[in-house]
Amino acid sequence: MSTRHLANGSYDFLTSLNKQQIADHLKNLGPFPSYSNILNPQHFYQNEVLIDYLKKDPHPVSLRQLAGYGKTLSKQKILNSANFVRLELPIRLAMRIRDLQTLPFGVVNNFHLAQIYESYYHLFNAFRKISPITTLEQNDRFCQTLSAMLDDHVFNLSHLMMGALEVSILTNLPREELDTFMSCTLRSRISRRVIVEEHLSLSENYRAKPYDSKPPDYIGEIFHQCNASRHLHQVAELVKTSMIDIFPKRENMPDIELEGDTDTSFPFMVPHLHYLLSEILRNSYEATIRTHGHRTSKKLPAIKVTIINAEKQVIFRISDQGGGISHDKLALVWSFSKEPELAKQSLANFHRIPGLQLYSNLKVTPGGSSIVESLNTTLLMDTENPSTKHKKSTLDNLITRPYEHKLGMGLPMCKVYADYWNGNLLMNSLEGYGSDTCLTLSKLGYHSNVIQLDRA
Amino acid sequence: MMFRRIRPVASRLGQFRCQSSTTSHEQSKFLEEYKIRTMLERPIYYYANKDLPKFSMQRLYQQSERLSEEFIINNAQGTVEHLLAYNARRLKEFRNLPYLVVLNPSISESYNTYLQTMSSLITASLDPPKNLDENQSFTQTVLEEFIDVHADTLPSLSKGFQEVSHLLSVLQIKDFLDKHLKERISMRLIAHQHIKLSESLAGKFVQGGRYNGVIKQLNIPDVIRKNAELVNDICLMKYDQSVPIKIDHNLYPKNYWSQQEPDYKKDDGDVLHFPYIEYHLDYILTEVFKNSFRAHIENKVEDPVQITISTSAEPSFLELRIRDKGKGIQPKVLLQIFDYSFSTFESGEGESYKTLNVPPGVGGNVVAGMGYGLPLLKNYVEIFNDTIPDENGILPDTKGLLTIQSYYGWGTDIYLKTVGN
Repeated sequence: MSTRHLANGSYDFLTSLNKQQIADHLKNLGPFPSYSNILNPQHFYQNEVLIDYLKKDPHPVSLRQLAGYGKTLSKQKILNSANFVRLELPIRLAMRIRDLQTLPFGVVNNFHLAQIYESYYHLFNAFRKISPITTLEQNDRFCQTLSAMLDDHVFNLSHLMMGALEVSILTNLPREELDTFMSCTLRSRISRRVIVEEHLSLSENYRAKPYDSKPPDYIGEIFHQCNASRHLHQVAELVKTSMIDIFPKRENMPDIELEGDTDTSFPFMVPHLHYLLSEILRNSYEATIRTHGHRTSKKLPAIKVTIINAEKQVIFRISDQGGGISHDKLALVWSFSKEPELAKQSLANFHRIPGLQLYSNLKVTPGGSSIVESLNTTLLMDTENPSTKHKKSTLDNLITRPYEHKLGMGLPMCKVYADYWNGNLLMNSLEGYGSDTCLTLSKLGYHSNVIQLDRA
Repeated sequence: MMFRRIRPVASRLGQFRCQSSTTSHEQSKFLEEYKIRTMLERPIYYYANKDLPKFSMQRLYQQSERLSEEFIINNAQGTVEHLLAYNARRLKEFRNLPYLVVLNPSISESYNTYLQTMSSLITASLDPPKNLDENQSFTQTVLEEFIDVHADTLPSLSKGFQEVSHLLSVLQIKDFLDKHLKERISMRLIAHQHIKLSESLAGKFVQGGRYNGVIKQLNIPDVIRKNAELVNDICLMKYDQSVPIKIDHNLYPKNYWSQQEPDYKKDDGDVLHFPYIEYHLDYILTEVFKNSFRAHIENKVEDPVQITISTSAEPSFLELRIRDKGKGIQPKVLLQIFDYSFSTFESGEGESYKTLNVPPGVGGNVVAGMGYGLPLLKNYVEIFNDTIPDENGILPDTKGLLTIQSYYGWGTDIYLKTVGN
């Protein structure tokens, strides 16, 4: 862990004014920021409650369980599902909070990671106080809380990524530890959100059509039947739009050429699928444009996508002629840890993403208890149906960001997502020619019984 | 801190909307704060990576010998830079502890203290004193404050580490505290040295002399008596008893037949004088006496505690043996004596090495029953870990040391050896 690049005169060369500013603000490196409701001297002692929660094990679930398997939904199933979510969330949050507590102070004291800590703890406190859910009305209120939670925590993803970048810049955590922490935290986050969204959609469905009968392989409303080819083209168009600034001639941008089982269709979560495809295509487009853009005035070489419809999986092989990556860089492409200079650029790009939420809106009662409450509750808006269909998503922001906001974390993030769905993401490269990215996704219907799909 | 939470924004229709995306104003504010935030850790990295000069009595003597107006001005800047280096190291070590550990209020109190002094030192480094008046105000504000602020942090730190002992391994705690205590002693010494040199310069100083700084010629028996009295005051308050002491030394064997004490008033020059840092010796003696006296009182031993002094000028060293009849230390306790163990004073068995609990209101060097007494003492002895090579190459190199030899059931001997230069 070299701190040489920071030590090499980078303090020395600051002006006296800057040094005085540092002296004035140094107390901000302390553990208890003034804006925080949770990070205060009593927190250490109140944390005893977390230790108790850590003694409980999380219950891994399969998709079918989540989807309320069986032919009909029933009131009991809905309530069971609600209580499952109610009990599981604090247990899983406790594990992630504990992770943060064991990292070095200098790492977590970072503004971004401290936001995450506070956000998680706030949620932990709020959820463990919810009493058992025994009526559908209680479930409705519970769903509102869950919906607000999803909203509140949308911004956590940005903070997680910015925090990781700052860690890379300061080099205060070794690569492996950062990668482990990020993968773990992200996986857990995906898992919590999927569980919550499943319950929300289950409740919504039951409310709308209580006697509806489901097929035995039903896995839930949040999954849609995705036509591979259609989604690929959809995402490609978005990516092309984002590249306009560096390559104005849209018509010369590479085409997507499909081969293989081009009519493949499979159930998946659309936001995740789009995110995965967009990061991969973004890399391919960027590489192709950079390699050929200035050398030819003709149409750039196409990106060839092979779709393989295996029995239990769908495989996308995305081949570009973008010049490839050197093999030593290839090994590092999956890591959240970047070279400090690169990390600085990425972070600067991050800061420029328009509309990205940077501050949290954690609420407490006058007595200091954490609550999760949507700010929309006083509105004329329809508050009875917290819907998952229009949920805000950080992923949406990330997918549509213009090219110059290169974050450098696309592939590590995608790997976590692919991994979560029991799939895989690999890359091979022909240096000087191009790269092949291989995305494997499990067909959820086949794996709906698989408990390992859920990582706490 | 500079960050605030988002407030709901009332729109035209009197509804409240959640302002979930940041305006460009907030974004630029965020970037401002970010810029400052990224600068905050730089001095810590910069100074923590600086090499520190080797700590030695030699250096302290040199500073004393070079004392002059010009020297003290230079020394002020040097002192600030050294203190910054040590302070930064402390901060770095604290920041390496697990997050939850530093959230403990007692530990964060210590950490915050170091943040405070780092801040004050950085400010001082931007405008170091350029004349004697400025040096005067520098020592009074920056240096004295530095010493004051860090003076009473140990009891709190001890409480803190006790509370987080389940979060760290014994070795981790030991490593941290060993380094912490050593560096703390060093920092205070650097500050004291400059203060003492400045005082000497302002008062009567000996040009080219060796005792202008913290090292002074000490009358060892006086120092011993002074500290015994101090500890006896505490004993009187707590037990309503005091313990007598007997001092003897290598050139004046007791007149066995007459049972008379050797006459210390006779001025035999340097034999009973030894150059050392008084407050270090004070601490060491106080700590040892606390243990020995308590052992005597609790075991109802009426005999005095015996202190034997042996000094040498060339090579310069001082050896003390403090012998008590306090029934000794249990072997298994002895093994842990230098560990930062927190439980030895809890058990009500009357083990002879529990440190005295000082009642509130008694100031001074109070290390009240927190289990840090002996490890800290060891650090004071080891801080000048200089070796004195034998010119002929025959004798082994000598260096400062502390040995505890206990005779369980009878008493304990403590051997102390410190080098003089």
